[in-house]
Amino acid sequence: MANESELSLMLAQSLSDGDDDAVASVYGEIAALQHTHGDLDGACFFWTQSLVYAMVAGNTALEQTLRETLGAHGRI
Amino acid sequence: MIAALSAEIERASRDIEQARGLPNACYTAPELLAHEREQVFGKGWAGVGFAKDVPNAGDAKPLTFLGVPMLMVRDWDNQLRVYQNTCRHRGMILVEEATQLKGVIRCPYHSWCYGLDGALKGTPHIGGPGHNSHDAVDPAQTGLVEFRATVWMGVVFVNLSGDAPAFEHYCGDLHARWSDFDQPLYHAGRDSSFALDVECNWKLAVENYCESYHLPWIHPALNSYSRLEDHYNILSEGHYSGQGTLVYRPSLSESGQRFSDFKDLPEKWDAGAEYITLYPNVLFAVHRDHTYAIVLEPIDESHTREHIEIFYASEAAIGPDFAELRATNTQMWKSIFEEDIGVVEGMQRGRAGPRFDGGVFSPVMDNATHCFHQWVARTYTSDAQPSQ
Ligand code: FES
Ligand SMILES: [Fe+2]
Repeated sequence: MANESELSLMLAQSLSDGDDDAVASVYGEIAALQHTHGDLDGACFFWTQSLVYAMVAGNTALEQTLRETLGAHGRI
Repeated sequence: MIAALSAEIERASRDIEQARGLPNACYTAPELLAHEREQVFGKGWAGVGFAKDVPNAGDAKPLTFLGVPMLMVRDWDNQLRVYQNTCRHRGMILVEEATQLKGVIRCPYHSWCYGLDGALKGTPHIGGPGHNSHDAVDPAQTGLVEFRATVWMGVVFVNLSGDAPAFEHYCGDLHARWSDFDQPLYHAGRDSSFALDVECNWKLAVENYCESYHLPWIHPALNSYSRLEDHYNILSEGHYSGQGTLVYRPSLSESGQRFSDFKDLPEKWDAGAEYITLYPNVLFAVHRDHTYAIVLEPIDESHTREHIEIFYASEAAIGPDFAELRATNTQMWKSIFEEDIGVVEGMQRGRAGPRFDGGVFSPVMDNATHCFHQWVARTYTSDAQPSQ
C-alpha cells in the first residue's frame, strides 16, 4: 500500500490527467488508510470524494460499494 | 410597451390589403425582444439546436438561447433531453463545453451530481464533511430543471413555458405536408454546417426567407432558371409560411454525379422544393436529395446568428466520394444566403426612419410575410399561442 505522500502525488497526477477512475481509486486508498488509523471521519470524507469520481467515471460497481460503506456509517 | 403599440400591432393583424407591417419598435426596441422571449419563443416551440450535435448516449452540449443557459444531453436510453444548465445548489453553470459524459453530470463548484435523467444523485458533504445527506434537502425535489424538448427534421425544439400545445399540433399540418421526408437524415459534419452573423432583428430573416418576390433582384443567377412565376406561396395561418418552387434541379458534379434521393418520393418532388418558416424561428427547406434547417438565434434586437445545417438522404451522400459535391452544395447555399444579408441589414437600418409605418404589402407577393406578421401580432397579446 502506498503511503500518504505517495498517494497525494498520485492524486495530483490523476486529477491533472482528468482520469476520474484513477482519482476515485486514489481517494479510496486514502480513505482506507485513514480507516486503518482509526479516523472514521477522515475515512468518510475521502470515501465521499471517491464516490463523486466513481459516479463521474460511470464506475457503477465502485459507486455501489462506496454507497454501502458510507451507508453502513450513516453517512448517506 | 406593447400597450403603447397596440394600435399599430392591431393594424398588422388586419387583412393584407388593409394591414401595415409591424411597427419599427418591434425590430429596434430591446424591451420588445424581452417580451418576445416570453410570448413568442417561450409559449411556443423554439428551435434551439441540432440533434446531430449529441449523436451518442452520454453526449452533452451546452447552449444559450435568448440568454437561457441550456444543456442538451443524449441520455443512456438514447433520448435527447434539454435541461437548464444551472445547478440547483448555488446556480453554477454545470457544463461549459461540449463533452462526452461517462457517468453523472458533476457541478464544478461543490460537486453535486446529476444523472442524465436529471435526478440529483450526490450531494457530497452537504451535512458536513463526510455526511452526504441532510433532512432539509430532498433529492427527489432537487433534480435538474428539464425543458420540454422534441426533435424534428434534425432540429431540437424547446418549449420554455412548459404548456404549449404538443409539438405535432403546434406545427399544424406541416408534418403531413412533408411526410414524404419523414426518413432518416444524414449529416456529414463540418462541410455541411456554417453560421452567418447578420445585423438585423431575427424577424427580418424570417420575412426575407418566406417570400420569393425578391428573387429576380437579389438572386439574379438563381432566377435565371428558377423564375418568379415558378414559385408559389405557402400559408398556414398560425403555424408556418413560405414558398415553393416547381423547378428545383439537383446539383451535379462535373462528372454528372448527384446525391441520391429520399426513398419513394412522389412525382411532385421531382422538380418541386419547398422553403418554409415554422414559427417562430426555424427556416426549413426540402428537396428530393437534401434538406436543410436554419435556426435563427436572436443575439439582441438587431443581431441574429443563423445556424445552417444541411442534411442528405443517404449514408453514401455523407461519405468521402461525395465530399466535393457536398462542398459545392454548401457553397451554393452559403452564397445565396449571403446575397440576402444586404437586404435584411438594410431593412433593419430602414427601421430607424421614424416615419416608416411598417410598410405596405403586395396582396399577391407578400402573403407569407403578412401571415407571419399576423401570427406575431396575435402572439404578442394572446394568453396562449393561437393553435387553430
Ligand atoms: S453550485 Fe453546484 S454544487 Fe454548489
Ligand atoms: Fe433570398
